[in-house]
Amino acid sequence: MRTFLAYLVCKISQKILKLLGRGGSLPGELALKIQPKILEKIQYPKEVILITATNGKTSTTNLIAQTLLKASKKVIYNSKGDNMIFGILTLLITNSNMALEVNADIAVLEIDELTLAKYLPRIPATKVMINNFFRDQLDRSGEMEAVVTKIEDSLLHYKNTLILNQDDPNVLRIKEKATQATVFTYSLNENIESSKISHEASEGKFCPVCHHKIKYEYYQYSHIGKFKCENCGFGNCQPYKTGQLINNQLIVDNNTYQLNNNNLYHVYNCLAVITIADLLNIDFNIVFNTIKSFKIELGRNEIITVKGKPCLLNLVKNPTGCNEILKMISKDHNQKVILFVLNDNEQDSRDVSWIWDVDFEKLNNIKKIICSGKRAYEIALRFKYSAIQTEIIVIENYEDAIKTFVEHDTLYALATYTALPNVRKELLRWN
Amino acid sequence: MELNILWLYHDVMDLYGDRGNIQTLKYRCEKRNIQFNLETCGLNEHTDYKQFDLIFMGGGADKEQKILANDLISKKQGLQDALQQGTIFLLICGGYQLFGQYYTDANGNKIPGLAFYDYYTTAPQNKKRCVGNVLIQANLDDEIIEICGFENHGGQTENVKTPLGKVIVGHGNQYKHQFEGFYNGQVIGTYIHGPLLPKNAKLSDFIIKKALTRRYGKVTLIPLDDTFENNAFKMITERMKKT
Repeated sequence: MRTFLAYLVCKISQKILKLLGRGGSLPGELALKIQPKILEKIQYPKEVILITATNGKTSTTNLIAQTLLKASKKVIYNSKGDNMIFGILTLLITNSNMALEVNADIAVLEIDELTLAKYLPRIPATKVMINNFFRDQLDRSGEMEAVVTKIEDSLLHYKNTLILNQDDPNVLRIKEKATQATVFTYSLNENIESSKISHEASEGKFCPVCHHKIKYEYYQYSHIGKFKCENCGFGNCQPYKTGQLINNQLIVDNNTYQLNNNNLYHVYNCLAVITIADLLNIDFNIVFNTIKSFKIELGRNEIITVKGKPCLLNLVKNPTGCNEILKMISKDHNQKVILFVLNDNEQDSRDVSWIWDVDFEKLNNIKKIICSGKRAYEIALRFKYSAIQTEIIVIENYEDAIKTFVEHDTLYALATYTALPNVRKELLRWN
Repeated sequence: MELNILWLYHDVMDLYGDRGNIQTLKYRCEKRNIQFNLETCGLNEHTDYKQFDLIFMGGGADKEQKILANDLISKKQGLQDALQQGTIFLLICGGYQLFGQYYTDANGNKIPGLAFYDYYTTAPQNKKRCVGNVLIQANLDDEIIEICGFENHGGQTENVKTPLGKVIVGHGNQYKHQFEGFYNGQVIGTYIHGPLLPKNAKLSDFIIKKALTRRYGKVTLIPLDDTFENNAFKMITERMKKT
């Protein structure tokens, strides 16, 4: 009875929200309140894939779901990144019948790291994929080490497939604890973007098995790369899939995939997708087409035309992601104007210290930096102390900041999570 | 003039943007034509600690802290010499904890500290982690100033006889505690990240002056344009005082 009521409330509240033109995770939240055991009552699809990472969860989930849809599978997935338990429940229940049977062959679920750790034992996952761990929202997640440990614990009795990025020591270490799982890993060979040294704030300096220092043969970005512990040999294993990157082409098992963006972190997302598609026996052509035509979400590398000039808009949320965007900006040798909108709401991370772990020092040819948002002066200080010789101005109100910003040429806008929708809307006004 | 500064465990203890503290000191020295000589000393490395005017150590994750605790003990004699020679210390979070008696982690393991001071730290009961914006009123050699930042620590530090300041908003040395940090006229220990120094310009200059005293006596620093610093401070503290 309780279960049926939970089902009903979830369905009805979702319909009402939809009528109001809204989405969100409230229906799932209500369902869980009414029936705390709702997760155990759901009849899951045969295949349940959980995808987590610090960066790129949404892109990877969408890529996998689109691949499976093109392969004519009946798929449900949380495309908009509603990745906490309430969002996942909303998705599952609204796609169920009264008996709580989910109407799909495959559920592809993006899942927040801590949510995975907490709920994995209660969700019959057939595949768990972990792509990377970076410093992110330390105030919410606790230190990254604590997050990894919690995920390790949740996988102690997990018996199905585990897909891991071999090039992230904090991800690979999970296989040491998940001894009952069947593990598949993927790795990317050295390429033109790789480097012998890394100056970016790094996790995983020590071997998770024996605590000796880890040696890197090369880095791809942040602490992702080819590593090995010289003491115990951790990291010295053959990946299931190895990618080779040549310009915009990714070669795996003699198949060549055409990328529309060779940003290393997109390349790793694609490798993850190729690995999972292989395990699900999806035809190469389908994967090829998905990867080739994939468009990332709004506000992620999105070009918006303002006053007839292109402006590149990006979400920034942690040092690694931000560093990757700065590397891209630095490839443009024109005199650039940067808008940085820094908020410190819950979803942005209340702790703004992460901006000090970003390598702003590497920026070149900057004509002007406009700082805005709830912590505008904080980001202005960061730029000031980076010793970039440029004009730094603060305009707290983002609408006024954008008004000044769009008067310039060669525009790059960066915004934290809660600032992004407003910044995007305001930029579009100048379209 | 020159300032010789050592960044202890630059390779391990670099959580929460603590390197911003070094950048701030460098900028504020160089703007005043004070030569900034930065050296680093990491795991398994040694140096002559007493030659430095200032030694800085930041915070690290729990696991990293455990790894370096033994290494730190191997540096004890050298650090003791530096203390005797009047070197100033700035210690954040894990660095602060390890200068005390010991740190007991969540599993009850006792990690010995350098035991230079009486305070000691234990993992929190009932998962009470101290997280959030923090504002304190500090007494720096009879100069009263406000210091703000962000705290994020599990460890509960007890038996601090000379705290850095009174908590106005936030937790401090323990969950919902009255006092924050440690200061004995030579060593500043604190849980405040943010990082600590960029928007606390007065504290930055206090530390620079203090560190220069050993070799140059009392110095006066030329004032800098601190508009961004003061506004960043104001922006967050006004909000904190309201709630």
